[in-house]
Amino acid sequence: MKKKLFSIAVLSVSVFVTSVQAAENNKTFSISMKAQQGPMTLQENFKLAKQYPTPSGWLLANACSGCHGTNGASFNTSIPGIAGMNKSEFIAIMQAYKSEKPSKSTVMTIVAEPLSDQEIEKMADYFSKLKATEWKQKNWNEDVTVPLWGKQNGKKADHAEK
Amino acid sequence: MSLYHFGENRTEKRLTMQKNKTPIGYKTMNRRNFLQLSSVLALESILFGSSVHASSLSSDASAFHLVIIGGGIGGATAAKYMRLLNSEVKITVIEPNKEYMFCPGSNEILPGWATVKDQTVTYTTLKNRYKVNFIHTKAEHVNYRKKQVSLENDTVLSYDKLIVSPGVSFDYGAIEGYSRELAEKSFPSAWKLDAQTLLLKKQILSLPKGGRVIISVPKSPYRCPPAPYERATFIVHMLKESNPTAKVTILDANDDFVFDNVYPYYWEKHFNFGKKNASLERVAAKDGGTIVKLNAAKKVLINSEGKEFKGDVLNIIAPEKAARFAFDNDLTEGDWCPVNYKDFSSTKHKDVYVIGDAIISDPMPKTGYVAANQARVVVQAINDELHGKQIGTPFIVNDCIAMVEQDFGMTLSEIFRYNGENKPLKARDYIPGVDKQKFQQKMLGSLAEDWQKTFRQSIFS
Ligand SMILES: Cc1cc2nc3c(=O)[nH]c(=O)nc-3n(C[C@H](O)[C@H](O)[C@H](O)COP(=O)(O)OP(=O)(O)OC[C@H]3O[C@@H](n4cnc5c(N)ncnc54)[C@H](O)[C@@H]3O)c2cc1C
Repeated sequence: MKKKLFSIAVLSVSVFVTSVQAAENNKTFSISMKAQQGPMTLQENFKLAKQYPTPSGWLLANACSGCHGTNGASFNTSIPGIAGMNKSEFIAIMQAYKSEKPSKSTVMTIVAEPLSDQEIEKMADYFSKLKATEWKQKNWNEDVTVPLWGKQNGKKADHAEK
Repeated sequence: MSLYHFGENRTEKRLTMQKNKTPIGYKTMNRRNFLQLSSVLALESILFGSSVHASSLSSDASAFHLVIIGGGIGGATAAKYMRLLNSEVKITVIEPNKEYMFCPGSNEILPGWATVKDQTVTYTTLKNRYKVNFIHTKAEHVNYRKKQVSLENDTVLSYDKLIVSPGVSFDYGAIEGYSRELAEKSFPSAWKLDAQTLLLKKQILSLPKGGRVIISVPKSPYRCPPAPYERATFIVHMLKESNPTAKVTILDANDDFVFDNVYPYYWEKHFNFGKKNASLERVAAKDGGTIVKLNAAKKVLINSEGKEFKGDVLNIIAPEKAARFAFDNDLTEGDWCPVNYKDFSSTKHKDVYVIGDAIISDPMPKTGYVAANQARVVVQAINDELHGKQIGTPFIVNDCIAMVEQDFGMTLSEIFRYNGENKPLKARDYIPGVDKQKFQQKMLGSLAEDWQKTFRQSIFS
């Protein structure tokens, strides 16, 4: 291994100042708190996105599932579900994140930053076709007996049932 | 076992229901294929609320057998997401344990913010809801020519495709004088949630007044790069009130570390980091942080220059390699498994895919988030191939929302892009520094708690 895995070639922006006045005790700290970016530049990133055909909507959307749940269908106090979101609304929100300074949002600005317009559109397309159903199966230790596609009730998403 | 087969009646019923929706152009298909296709469509419409066109299957999917070795984060994700893509294939996971204990969130056990029970999930939902077969034993040997895996319980399984996600093994012997026995009895590594984690907790809680806890960090790559710094921070929190003169020392075999634009700031502010009376200190590799030897009798760690560090509690995080299974089955090159980054297929054997902590992953870190996303790339590639489609472009994200304390969180986001054949993926990372507005950091703290829940749910429910 050439360098440590998480190594970040710090290329850029000083979003934050190097020393900060801590409001509560008026002490100056000497530690660097700059945002770190790299090793690819954004430009290189978008070039690669163009060079290789965009990943599928399914893959792009489920790359988010670690936070937003399978098919974007988890809801909790601080992370919203995205399943069933209107396509143009999704695009508008993601583009707004992309154009914002990272400090404006806690997580999504930095998540949206490297996504190409085409990728955002694919995600939007995918999520907009899903039902806005909550993934209710919260307890994996429960004895679940109904298979995912076991019910033949085409109208209702099975995963909304116990 | 016929777990994965649907009753004929059900299939018939579905067939009737789906008839009107059948896309044109499938007239020439035989009945068997038609049944498969209609159930794939049914699945799509149930899940996605619309019928997505599926291409015709190039082989008999119901006879197709996907075998997955390891039911950890990589293996469990592969099983669930393969089923989401394909209702017909037979999926079998080989995993010796009946429950999985999550490492993400396991440092929280030390200060008592989480319990072992909170960290434990069962395979019940994967078995019943996703119709995944589990065989609770160890996989031993793969015959790549015959495409068969033999198991410790003497069963032999045939596979069409094999996904291997066996995690890491700990190389205790890489530190002279250290061993698995010593880790279990006296100097825990605690880099996998098990009895060693509880031993470490017990030792910290009975630390003598003004005592010293040493955490030794191995050279990268190791699983979860930020976790040693998280752990060190949590331990100081544990001791702050009951034992305020205690000290935590990080002996680090690396110079830089992830979140080094956040942690030191927090440490300086709360732990006097960098000062004489600091409750937390760190020795980087360039300053002699690389530990090569343990003197167990004296509780002393020794660095490459012979310098000694004495502690009351020694948390020696052992260096790692791919799991034993990978070495026994010719999947490794050096310490880890080489793969093609288009689909994570092994470069050494055909129809075999390796994912998760066990692979040569640079620049991807060894995290659960990454292992899960690798799993999705693989199952999509397998499903595409099964449908006679060209496999798609991989896309890997690593998002981390971590806690420094319950009111102070931090985040990073990375994506890894395909960069052509025989080349590693290319990374684009972003790690915000500390925000001057405290509410931002507080929000991240609560997000971190929510993330732990959603992440587990996205894999096991
Ligand atoms: C303290 C700590 C904190 C962490 N925090 C985070 C975090 O916040 N976020 C994050 O994304 N990641 C985190 N991680 C990392 C994460 O746990 C791993 O990256 C992830 O578990 C890797 O998944 P895997 O499938 O490769 O391996 P594992 O999850 O370890 O699964 C491997 C499985 O294979 C099985 N196995 C092994 N050999 C065989 C065999 N011969 N036959 C059958 N089965 C076998 C094992 O029993 C095991 O269940 C953390 C890790 C640690 C140690």
